[in-house]
Amino acid sequence: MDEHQLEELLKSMKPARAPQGMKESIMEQIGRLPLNAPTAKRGLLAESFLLWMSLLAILLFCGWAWQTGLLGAEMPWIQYLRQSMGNIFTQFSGMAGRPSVYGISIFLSLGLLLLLDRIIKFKTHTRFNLL
Amino acid sequence: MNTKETDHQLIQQVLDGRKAAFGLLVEKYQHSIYALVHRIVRDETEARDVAQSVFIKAYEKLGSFNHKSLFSTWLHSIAYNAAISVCRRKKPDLVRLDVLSGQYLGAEEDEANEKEALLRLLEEVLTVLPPEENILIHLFYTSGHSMAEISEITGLTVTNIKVKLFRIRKKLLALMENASVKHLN
Repeated sequence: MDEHQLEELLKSMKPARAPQGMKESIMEQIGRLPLNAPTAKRGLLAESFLLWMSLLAILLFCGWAWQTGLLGAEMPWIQYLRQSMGNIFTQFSGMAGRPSVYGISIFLSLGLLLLLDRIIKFKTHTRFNLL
Repeated sequence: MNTKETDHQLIQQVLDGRKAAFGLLVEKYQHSIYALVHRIVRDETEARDVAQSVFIKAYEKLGSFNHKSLFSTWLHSIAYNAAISVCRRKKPDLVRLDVLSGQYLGAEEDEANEKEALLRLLEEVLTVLPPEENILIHLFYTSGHSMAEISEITGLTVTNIKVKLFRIRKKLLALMENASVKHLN
């Protein structure tokens, strides 16, 4: 057998055909997915908003607790750490010292952004990067 | 209206919330995607599962399809990556070269169908090739993709594909010869 014959043989190979019912099975699975699944990128964006918001909230709480001495009040090693490394949260004292004002405003703005994201997702299918 | 325009319209309909439009895309490409996956996976049930997951993934990522390439090329590249990753996860089926018996060649006297016997031998020989080589053979010869399309699907350059196909043909010829000689002996 030469190369030409081999090529002819390769071209005459019949491809496998999809089994019956595969399409129906795929459409059934797709039917269970949310309507916005093809544009779910913005959904993930919203999830990352929530993630960052939670992290920020934890950070703010820790800063506030650190500032007021609530965190580690009973733990001498934390007190020692605070003294030796300096209070890094005092660098953000403006924010950490007033958790109620800053926390609420951050939560409100993020909430508004999420709402905006939902409205855009509902109204259009263009990918809109809020970040 | 050409294929690209039709696909584009169907994609737009899916993005507008008409899930049923995706059914037409599935119907159009199910056989070629299944054939590609089956060429590598070789197990019907697994090939069906992988092919289904390819379409689900395509549906989920449809919003990120940028229309720079053809939808079919994009879909085949998803299938290519899925099939390759399945093969990498699986313990490879080791087919020993000396096992290629050429047993089908004896059948032509009975069936008087030499080509059929050669095709079956070729199928057997192809199981020896690694998945990446099998896919190249499938895309170029069986499904008739152009070099440029294969390049987009696999991420290889056109020159690289040509070189690889040349080497694969040489390898196949040697394996076919080997099996034939063994059968004659």
